[in-house]
Order: sequence, then structure tokens, then C-alpha cells
Amino acid sequence: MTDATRAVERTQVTVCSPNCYDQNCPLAVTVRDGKITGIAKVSFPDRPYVERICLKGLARRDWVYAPDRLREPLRRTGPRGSGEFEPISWSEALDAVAGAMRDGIERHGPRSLGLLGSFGAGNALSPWRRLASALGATVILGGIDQGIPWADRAMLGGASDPPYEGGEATRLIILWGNNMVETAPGMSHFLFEARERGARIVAIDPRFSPTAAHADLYIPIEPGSDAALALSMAHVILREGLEDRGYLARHSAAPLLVREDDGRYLRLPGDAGETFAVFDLRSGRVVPPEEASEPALEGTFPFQGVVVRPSLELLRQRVQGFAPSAASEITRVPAETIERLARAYATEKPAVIRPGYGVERWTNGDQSAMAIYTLPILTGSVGVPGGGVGRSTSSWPVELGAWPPPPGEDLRDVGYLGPMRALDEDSPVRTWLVLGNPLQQWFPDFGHTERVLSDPARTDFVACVDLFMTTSARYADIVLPACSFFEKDDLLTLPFSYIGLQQKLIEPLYSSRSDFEIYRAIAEGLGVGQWFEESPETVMERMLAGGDERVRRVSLARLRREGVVRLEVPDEPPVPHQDGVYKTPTGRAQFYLEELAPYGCAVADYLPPELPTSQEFPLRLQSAHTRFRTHSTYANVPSLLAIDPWPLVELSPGDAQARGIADGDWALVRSAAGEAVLRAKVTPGQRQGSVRIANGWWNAQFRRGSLQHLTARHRSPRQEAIYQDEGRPMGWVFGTTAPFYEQACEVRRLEEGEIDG
Amino acid sequence: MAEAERAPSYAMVIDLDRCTGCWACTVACREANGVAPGFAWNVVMTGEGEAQDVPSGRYPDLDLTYFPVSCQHCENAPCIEVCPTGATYRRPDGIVAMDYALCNGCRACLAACPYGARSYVPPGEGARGGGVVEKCDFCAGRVDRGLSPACVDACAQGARVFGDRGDPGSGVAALLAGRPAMRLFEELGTSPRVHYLTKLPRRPL
Repeated sequence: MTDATRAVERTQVTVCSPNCYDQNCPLAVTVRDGKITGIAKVSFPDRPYVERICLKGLARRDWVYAPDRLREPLRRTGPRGSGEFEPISWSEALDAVAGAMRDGIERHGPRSLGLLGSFGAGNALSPWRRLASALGATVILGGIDQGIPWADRAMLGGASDPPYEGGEATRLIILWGNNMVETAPGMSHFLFEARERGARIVAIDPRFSPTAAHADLYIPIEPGSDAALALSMAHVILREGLEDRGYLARHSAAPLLVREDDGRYLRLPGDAGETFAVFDLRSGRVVPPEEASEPALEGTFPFQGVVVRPSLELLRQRVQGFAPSAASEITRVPAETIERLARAYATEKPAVIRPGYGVERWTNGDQSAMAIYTLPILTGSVGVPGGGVGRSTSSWPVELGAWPPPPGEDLRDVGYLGPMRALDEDSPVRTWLVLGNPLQQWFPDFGHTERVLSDPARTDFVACVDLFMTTSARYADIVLPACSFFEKDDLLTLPFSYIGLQQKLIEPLYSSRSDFEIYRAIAEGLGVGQWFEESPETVMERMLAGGDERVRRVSLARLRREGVVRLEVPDEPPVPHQDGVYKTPTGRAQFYLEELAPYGCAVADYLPPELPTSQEFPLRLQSAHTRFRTHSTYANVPSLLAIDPWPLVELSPGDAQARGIADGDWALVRSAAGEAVLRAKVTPGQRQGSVRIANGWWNAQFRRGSLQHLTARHRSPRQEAIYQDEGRPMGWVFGTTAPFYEQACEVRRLEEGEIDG
Repeated sequence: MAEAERAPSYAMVIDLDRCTGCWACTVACREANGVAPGFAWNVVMTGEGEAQDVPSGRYPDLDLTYFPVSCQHCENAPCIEVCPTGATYRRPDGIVAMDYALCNGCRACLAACPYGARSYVPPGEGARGGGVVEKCDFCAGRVDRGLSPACVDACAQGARVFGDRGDPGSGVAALLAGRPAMRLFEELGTSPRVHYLTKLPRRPL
């Protein structure tokens, strides 16, 4: 036992890090005799809004000491996925992993190594990324729910999320596919405070969620039709002249002329290079924007043999087909509700839209995100205190320094690959090194995942680093037991401009090791140990010293004492884009993305779900998250299982009755991809025609199959074409989405004798 | 009696408009009080005892209201009346407390409590060794040290407020003066010290 963990009782601040909406809550942890004995909220008397904790953070003690913590490295003895393992020593396990990776590099090159790290497991010190950089391996990341962050970058230049703590002026809050009362419990109080100040809350969701229950108005919507609702709101706003023409002319690309022939913005040659162009109504000429006194927002103009139009004209054309009566057919939201919502959004300003992941876990989720981000541009709700658009919270940014490569080395290019692509026929990946449980959480159609992982012609080796025997660990050849964030040091950034230190409060349980030690040992086995020569302590000091001026003033010693430290930033939170700066190609807020013109979606469009419902599979399956888990973390915690004990498929009373299903019955859920057996729950909060299985249960917790056995690997050909575009107009970060909420399914009641097939 | 000598009159106010049914209070209570696995001194009921998280009404005209329920710290506490050993008693500050050393596990109080707020913990389980009836005591030990009950501290929504109902300047008194409130099974005459602020009216567009 080290000095740090000697037998005295002390309370120390550390930080929870599960990759949730609340992002890294400070925890006050009491340790006695080397054991965690209590976890409580940290108080911030000067800034009470920073205080937050949730049931999961409070259950972390139960998580650390859960009876199923892995105790030693394991080697697979049965077929892959069978769950049959035998304990082995650390040196055997590390030799096996490094040996398999060395073989992979020799036979198929470094890109054949696929490295994945879930975010609950590592923070600033991401040793798995470091190892990927040292080897030039493939990093499997992103591409399953990138619609909203992409829309933000492409349309507003990024970093637009309105800080929660800056919302005093807000009069209207639209929570769009965002169940934040359940998924961001530490931030929901901002909603209630806004409501008590007189703001209205609107919740748009197919399901009557706990968030809908706290709204002034609940708008039920046909799943997957969000883009149609947003475009119809734009229709009403433009029809009634409620758009903010001053903002549109000054700060948006609305007046910029677009060429009819190629859909690109018109460029004029200028002394300092090309400029964009507008039609000046005063002079009747096409001029650079800064030379126009009255730029046209409407109209069609001939210019040097080409027809050009302000981009707002193209938005007008798009929304023509989305009159409320027409949109109502798609969304099943009454036309009159669409009109009231549009008017309220355009007039009860400042208004903020907080879209959630619900709108983008669809084949064409990027278009829903784009349609929603069109609205604040149209109404000039960007750059104003209390307005804006964004799903999470941001404040004054905290920029840590980098973990530089060792002397004389360069970071090697890694190959980025989206999860679905990593399991394609032509994927280079044959050897997998997995941190956490992404094999379950990131990959739709687990049957396919299982087939690829079990096929010796496609998969050479799988290793998994985790605390528990999760689904991913079950498919590993070698399982390496990691320690928790209470058992190691790491650095992270928190909302409200704090920087935090996760510090070692107890010794690693059993024989578990930190991910840093594990990846360092693998690196040494592969001859790249020099990338991990520095201690975590030194690396963290480098990251602080390499940060911006405010980060540099925070010492590791102070973080060790205080746990979390707020940077010296103004008390008033920033208002994103208040300075009129938009880091987009036009330098303006843009709802018209010229790079997408060849794909027909330069202006957002409503594209229907591509996975059709049918007589065989008439129901849509959604897998919204709950308060009891963050992704698949906590699924095994006894005190949470006491409240939420097993997976459920939730059905509306109508759908249940039609199938003879009663609450608590065993049910078989089938889709074109696979099946799952679990208990049914009947609730009027569920929309008829759609069913829900909460996200995050481990596959083994289902009686048969699992949620991910039901979901589809389908990718939109349009998204694929954009993603593969030679010019890569959006880079690898194009907002690809996966249809986790789109699959069609059917549910059948099972008799007791049928449960196990 | 001079003001300085007046014992506080503790109460808890739970704002149903802010409660999101998140169960943080239950987990915090378990952590703070060493409640045995499978037992809870505080549970979150949905609506009028329907299944968990199930709204009432017909889609989409629905209501979902959560009631966290623990010991109501009744002024007329049926449990105190039936306790044969004096293990259950009322403190001068109104907290209905337990002296576990006196509890013989007879469970008369379990039958008497209309709120289902008590649980018999079998021998060998929980921080008190089991064989006794356990329940919420407003975290009397924490309160005596000037702290809030653990559930109040853990509630990120600020839905729970604890304090001296007899002090007009207290948070609980201000809330009770400013918002309509109700108590559970008022008609039984138990006069609970747990008050529920009813939901605020909705303002649809």
C-alpha cells in the first residue's frame, strides 16, 4: 500500500467520466482503509449551477466493487464468443497480444490492426490512440451519429452549443428528439429554472419521455420525419415574413448568389483573389457582398450567361413542398401545431433549439440535422444571448496541450474507419484491440459482427481491455483486466471551463492494471516502447504546460489538492458567434452547402427512412437511452439493477393488444437482421407503430439475441457517395449516421415453453 | 419559550414539477445509510402507483408525475403508537427516528405504516446488522452535523428542500407559502412532515 492509500479516512474530489451528456461530474469520494466508502456531490458555493451528480455517479462504488470485476487476464478456450476462458498470467497475456499484433503487421501491414477505444474508458491520456499513432494502425471511430456536430461545423463553423448557464434571456426552449431530463440529469435544472422565469419548453419526440412530461407543450411526431417538420417551420416562417432579414443579409449566406449550372456559389475575380457575389438591388449589379448597399435575398438573375439566385431563393424553392398540410401527412403533427410552433420560434425570441441524438440515428440523419440548423439562421437566433442551437453545453473552451511524439519520431498517420466500414468485405482490419465495449455499442447487426469476428478468413485475433466481461470481451481471444478511474491518474476537461484530475484513490483491484500500463506493455512488445517512456505524471504536466495561457496557470499539484479547477475565464459565459465570426467556407452562417449540390441536398431535404416497414415487420424499433446507463456502462451495477432489472420491449397499448401481449409477458422481437427475446412492457407513452428497447444492456442480459442483433447495417448510398467523394468536401468528418432508430420489426408473445427456442 | 430555545420543526418539501423520477435520491440514501441490497428507504413511485415510468392518460394527452416516497415523519405517527419497545420515537425536532438497539423486529410498525415506508431487514444484512425494521430518519445524524439529508444533497434538480418549517425565513416555509402543496393520505390524519408541491400549470403555445 502506498502513502496515497494508507489507512486513514479522507475525502478527495475526482471526476466521473462515462461519456454522457453531463460530461464529467465532480465526485467527492471518501476513502477509508484503502476502500471507497462514500461518493457524494461536490459543492460549489460560488457557482451552484456547477453542482451536479446523478444516480449513476452515486452508484460508482457499487460499480467498482461489482462482484463480476475481472480478476485476472483470460485466454479463450472455446469458440469465439462462447464465453469460455481460462486465467493466464499477465506476461502470457501481453506476449499473446503483442505477438498477434506483430504477426498482423508482418503479414498484412499496420492498417490491418484495428484499434477502438470507448470514451468511458480513457480521457486525455488516450494510450490506445497513442499506440495507433505509433504503429500507423487503423483507428475505428465516428460515423454513427455525426449529423449534428457536422451540421454545426458545416453550417455555423462549429462550437455553437449555447452554454446552459447563459440562458437567462431565453423565452422558448425546443428540445428536439432530446430526452435530456433523463440523459442529462445534472443539467435539467437549467430547464426548470428557465421555466420558472417564464420560458416555455417544447418537447418534440415520438415517445412521451420524462422530458416531454416536463414540457409546456409535447409534440408527438412520426419517427424519422424531423426534417419535414423543420422544413415546414421554415415554410411558415418565410410565408409569413417572420425571417430576420437583417441577420440574413449581414451574417448569413442567404444573399450569396448560387449558379444554376453547377450549384456552386458564384465567384467574382478580385484583386485579393475570388470573392462571393450578391445582387445589389440599389445599383442593379452583381457585386462583392461588401460593395452592396441592398443585397437581394430573392430573385433570379442572369449574369454572364449563367442564371444565378440568392441562396435564400433556393431555400424558398425547397420549402415550397413542405406546406404544413403536406408536412402533416409525413410528420403526423397537425398543420395548425406546425404553424403555431413556427410562429412561436420566430417571435418568442431569444429561442434556443437543443436537438438530441434522436433526430440523427437514421439513414438520412444528416439531413434532419441540417434542416434543424437551418431554422436559427433563418430567424437570426444565432449569436444572441439566450438563443442558439446545440445539443450539449460549451463554455469558454479549455484547450489542453498535446502528448507529443518521442524525440526524433513523428506521429504516424492512422487510417480512420467508421465502425460499419470496419466490418465491410474490403475492410483492412483483421486484428482487433478493443478498449471497452464498442463491438456491441457501435456496430449495428450483431449477427454480422459475430460472423466476421468468427470467420478465420477475415479475423486473425481479438483482444479486449475492460473491467468486466462485456459483450466485446466475450468475443476476445485475450481479455486484459483494466482498472477503473479511481485506481489510476488521468486528466480531463469539464463543462463550465473546469479542468479536472482523476486521481488514484485506491490501489487497482485484483490484478487489474491501468490502460496506460497495458498499452505501454503492448507497445514495448512491439518495439515502440519509446512512445510510452514518460510517466503519466510527466505527460499530464506536459499537457498542462502545452495548453493555452489559462491552462498553463493550472498546476498538477493544485489539481491534486482540489480535484477540479476553474480556469481564469470571465464569469459571463460566451455567446457563440456573437462576434459575427463563422468559420465556414463563406465566412457566414450558411444553410446552403455548395459541396452537396451534386447530391441534391445543398439545401436540407426530407429523405424518408430507407428501411421500409412491411407486413412482416410493421413496427419501428427505437433504442433511446435511459437514466440507468450511459451507453453500456453500469448495466451490471447491482444497486441500479435493483431499480431497472432487465431489458424490456416497450409497446403502446394498441400494438400490445393487437398481438395479445400483456405487461410482463415474454416477447420475441424479430427484424430482417435477427431477433431478441425479452420481457414486454405496455405503456401509453409509446407511440403506436413504434417500439423501444432501451440502449446499453449487454447481449448476455437478453434471454436470447439482443438489441444489436435487431439493428441494420444499412448505409445511405447518398451518404456513402459523399463520404467517398474524391474531393472529400467534408473530410472524413462528414456527418454520417447509422440507422440505430430506424429498423423495422415485429413483436410476438412467447409462451413459457418457447422462451429458449 | 424564547425563540432561541425553540426546537426546529423539520420538514421536507418535494417539488413534483422538478422531480424527474431519476432515483438519485434512492441511490444516495443507500450509499449514505448502508441500506441492504434489495431494500430501499426511499422509492420513486410513478403517478398513483402505476408501473414504473408509465404515464397516465391516452397518447398523446399524457401525464407523468413522480412521487418519491420515504418515511413521512408523521406528527401523528401510527408506527410510534404500535411500537412495543419504544424503538420508534419522535425527536423534539419532529424527526421520527429509530433506536435500533431497542427494535426486536416484531414488525407491528410495518403493518401500521400507511405509506409502506418501512422494511424488515433479515439478520446479517445491512449496516445495522439486520433483524430490525429500518426506515428513513431524515438522515438525523447528518442533520445534527449541520448537513442536509443525503437525498436532498444528491438531487440535481433541486426538487427536494429540507429545513425548519417553523422558521418563516426557511426555504421550506417560503416554498409552502408560495406554491400549492399536498401531503400523502391527508385524510388519515397522520399529518406528515413531507410536503409535495403540485405541478405548475403548463403554458402551451
